Amino acid sequence: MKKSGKLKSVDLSVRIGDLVFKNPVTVASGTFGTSDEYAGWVKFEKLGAITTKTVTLKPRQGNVMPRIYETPSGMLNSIGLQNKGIDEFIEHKIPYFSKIKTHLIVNIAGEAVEDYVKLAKMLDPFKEVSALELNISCPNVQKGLEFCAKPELAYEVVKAVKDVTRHVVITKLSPEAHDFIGVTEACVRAGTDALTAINTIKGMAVDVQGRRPRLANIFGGLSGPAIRPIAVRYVYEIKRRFDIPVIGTGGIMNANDALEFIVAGAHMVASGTANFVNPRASMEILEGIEKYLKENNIASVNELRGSLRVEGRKEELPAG
Amino acid sequence: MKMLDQSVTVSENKKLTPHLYKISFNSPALAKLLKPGHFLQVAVTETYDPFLRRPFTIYRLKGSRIEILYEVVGRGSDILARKKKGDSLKVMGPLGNVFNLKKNRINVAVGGGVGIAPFIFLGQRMKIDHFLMGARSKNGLLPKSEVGALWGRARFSTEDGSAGTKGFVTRCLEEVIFETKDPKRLYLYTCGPKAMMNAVMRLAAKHGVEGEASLDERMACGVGACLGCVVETKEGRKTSCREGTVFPFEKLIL
Repeated sequence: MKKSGKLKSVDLSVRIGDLVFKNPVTVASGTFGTSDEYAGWVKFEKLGAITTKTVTLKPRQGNVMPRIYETPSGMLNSIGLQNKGIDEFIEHKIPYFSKIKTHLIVNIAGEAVEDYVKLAKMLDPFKEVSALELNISCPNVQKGLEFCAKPELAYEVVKAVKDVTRHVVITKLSPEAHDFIGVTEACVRAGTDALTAINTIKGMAVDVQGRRPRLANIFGGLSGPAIRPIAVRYVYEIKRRFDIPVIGTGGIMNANDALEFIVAGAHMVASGTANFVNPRASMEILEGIEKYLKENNIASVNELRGSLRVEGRKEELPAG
Repeated sequence: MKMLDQSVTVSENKKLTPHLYKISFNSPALAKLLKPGHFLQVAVTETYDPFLRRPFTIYRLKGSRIEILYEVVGRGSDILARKKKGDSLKVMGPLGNVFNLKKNRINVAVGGGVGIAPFIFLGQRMKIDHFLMGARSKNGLLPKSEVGALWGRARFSTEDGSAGTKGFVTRCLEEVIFETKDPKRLYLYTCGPKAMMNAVMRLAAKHGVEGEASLDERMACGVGACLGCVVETKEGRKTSCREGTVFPFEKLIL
């Protein structure tokens, strides 16, 4: 990798399953609104994909307030999957997103395997939908983490969805799983086309004056740069064991952060909480990745992926 | 709606009272877009530390000069208070909806503490007939030099009785309601602590007075994406940053 900066154009496209994404940058579910919230700052069609906020079968009003709390280098949230449900999504959101010339990844969640199956079936007729992202890892709802807590449950839900959909299936994992590798293996075995790593990490903050939890839900999902090293580690741990595309997410604030994930093996990256504090984060990440490739004379992002050089670096302690 | 996110240079940062500060900067592009009720998401550092931006309503416009009123309540506002002329801030906006400017009503602004801020800007764009300001003590009240032409229509309350009527600002509002022949002609604009706004809305309901409240729950994104700042309305939970901050009284659940 010479710093001569000769390349005028680079190939940013990546492939997951049958899908070719024009570039490796998307947004993390739940951090990009439900329609045009960021249209003032982001040219949506420039993104490799748009990932929607979680959609559930029935409308959910979410958790009570307070739902967010700022923490060092990040924040806790306990929104509770507030959304208007799949019927409204099909009626209003799919027509809205269908006008945007990029891939649409629809994030879905349920309380039972049948919920995921119903959602997948309802979304199956829509060509406008490119992929389903299975949220089996939300810390803020009852049973949210259940599916990714045990390999057999993760297998069951991924397999059931794969059996009924023609869409590419991406499974979003939680670092909360005690047997993370086992859960990952189960998802791969069940046929998931890709994985997203990682969802938020369950956390808590206390108001010591009032001796009260800062969040009404007591616990919330920690996101932001505070969790980035954990996310990079998970991406790397998955990639060195499994030949499966990974969408890396967790505290990516800029292109440099995104490149950490790509070098560690991620096919794509998603800006999440960064969108909240810098509405142009996704665009800046995309511009920065392109610049890095040009400056380092790397013709394609696929060459960079997983190019981590570990010679002379050795893990002395067993992971986990 | 055009949205900006730009670096601006602080032109002045001034302590108005022991509790209230005012920071000013110039932005012709932003100033053109701003209406009373709009707010900005301000990054007080470039390092994401503190992590989130802070929402501030527009306090006053003077040509392309934008003024923000604030009090020091935590780390973000403490950093803001240390800003000097020439320092930079990143500001994103205009955000939120705006106040409805009523022409044929007796307009009453009811502000609690730093919640008085949007009503100076509102008064620049609309006739305010009664300007009611409440605070814990006189240190939380805007000085005459800041209130300007509205001073003649202003009433004050302080909880400790150090200035104006002793008690809550609803006592000033009661006075206005009792002095007005037809209270239904009154239209209220309120912003401040939740308990104070709830008291204003209860009083308004009792006398059949209409109005609107600016609610700023703790926010992360400021654009309606994170759903962290919802308020309870009769139409379900709404984001205070995007579907608000201004809500008609009749839509809110107290």
